[in-house]
Amino acid sequence: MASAGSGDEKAAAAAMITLISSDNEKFEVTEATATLSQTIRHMIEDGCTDGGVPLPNVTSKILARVIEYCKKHATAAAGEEGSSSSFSDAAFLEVDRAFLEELEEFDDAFLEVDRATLFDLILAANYLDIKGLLNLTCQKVADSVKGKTPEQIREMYNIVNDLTPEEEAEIRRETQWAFE
Amino acid sequence: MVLLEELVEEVLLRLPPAEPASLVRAALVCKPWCRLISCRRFRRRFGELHRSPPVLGYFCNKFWFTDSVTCFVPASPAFPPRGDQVLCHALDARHGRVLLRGKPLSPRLTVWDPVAGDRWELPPLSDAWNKRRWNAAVLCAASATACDHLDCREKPFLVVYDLVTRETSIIGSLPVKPMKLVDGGIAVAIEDYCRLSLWSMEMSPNGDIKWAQLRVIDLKKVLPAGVLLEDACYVAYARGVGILAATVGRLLNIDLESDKVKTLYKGGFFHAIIPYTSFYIPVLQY
Repeated sequence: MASAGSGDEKAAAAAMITLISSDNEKFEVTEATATLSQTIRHMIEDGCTDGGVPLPNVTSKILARVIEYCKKHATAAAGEEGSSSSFSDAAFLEVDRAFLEELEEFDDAFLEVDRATLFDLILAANYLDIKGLLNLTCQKVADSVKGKTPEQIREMYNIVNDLTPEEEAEIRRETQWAFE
Repeated sequence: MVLLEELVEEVLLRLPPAEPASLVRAALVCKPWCRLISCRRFRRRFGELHRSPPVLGYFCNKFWFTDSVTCFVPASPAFPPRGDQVLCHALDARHGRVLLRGKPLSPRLTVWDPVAGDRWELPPLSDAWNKRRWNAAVLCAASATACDHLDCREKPFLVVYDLVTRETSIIGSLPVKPMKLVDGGIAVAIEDYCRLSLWSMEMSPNGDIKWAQLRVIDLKKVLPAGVLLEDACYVAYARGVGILAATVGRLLNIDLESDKVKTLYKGGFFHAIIPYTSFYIPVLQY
């Protein structure tokens, strides 16, 4: 018979959490996946996840994507912790590098979404406090802003210019070098 | 489909520090973005996220009649030009501030923050400093535990003087004569006009200083044709940039990863190069 300690660990690894989207769809995920979200981690620590975790700010469409991200990255985190000694160091590094490359490819593919979805993912990552996802999605928007003129940025993101022509001209005079 | 202001901040924080023009352009998108980028909270968070500020450019000293003056060479065209020919000699630059000295024999020192545009004239030095060979540095006055030096602009500074220059206080223990002791305990030396060697300073627990050779670069192999080796007479090192070498009529940058050589500036003959490292976050008002 297994010792009580390892039995508990097994139970913890298999613990499932139910997440409920704003449109009332239920998603069963492992605790390891769910705790990539600091918000959910705190709820688990406070013992308020019985009967599911309602997420009134996240639609089922976005929650499905967020869970997809968390599953992949939770596997990555588990892989790092459980570095086994069955590989030689060199072989292990090789496996590690391959896995990191795979993760990068996953992230790139994950970001292939329309702008509305990207913004919704940023909102969800912020609300659920998932640092990696927030960083990934915000970096994608930052990369699209980089090197663009103010006009191009406004057009891309439907931003109304509330600077008067005089105000704008004045700032441009001061920062001429940035527009050359 | 407009992002909440809180999340706009998350996005703008991730613009690249080495491209300050991107922040300036973003600040011109609308008033809320302008306010957001210009506020102190943004500056602090930008520093915390990116940690190491980029090299914005180089204060290069050149001889000018009987004096020496500095001019600023931007690291890339997308950087703000600052104070070309300020008619002062640059002594040091740290934490976003530059230490300048006026006439050599009656030294008036000025601390200058080229990004914020602030200048502080220091009180005149006594006659005891009336010498050719001396050096000074400008430091953040906060102790290492009180300041992470990511945004110490508004904090007090300290100017330290040294009658025996930094180079000579170190030469004793270095196996070859360095042209200059530089960034973060890395020294670069030039040997026989054709080899650059890079040394790293290591401090043993009992306080002894030891030098370890990091690598040697054969200038004959990396310098472009037509650049005379004899002329490579001043070298410096900047973290993240590599080696800088001043020859007659050129300022060169040797990338240590690829050994590629880039001409940063044509003209002039610099006898000192002081890298200027700082975040550049515009503070704009409409």
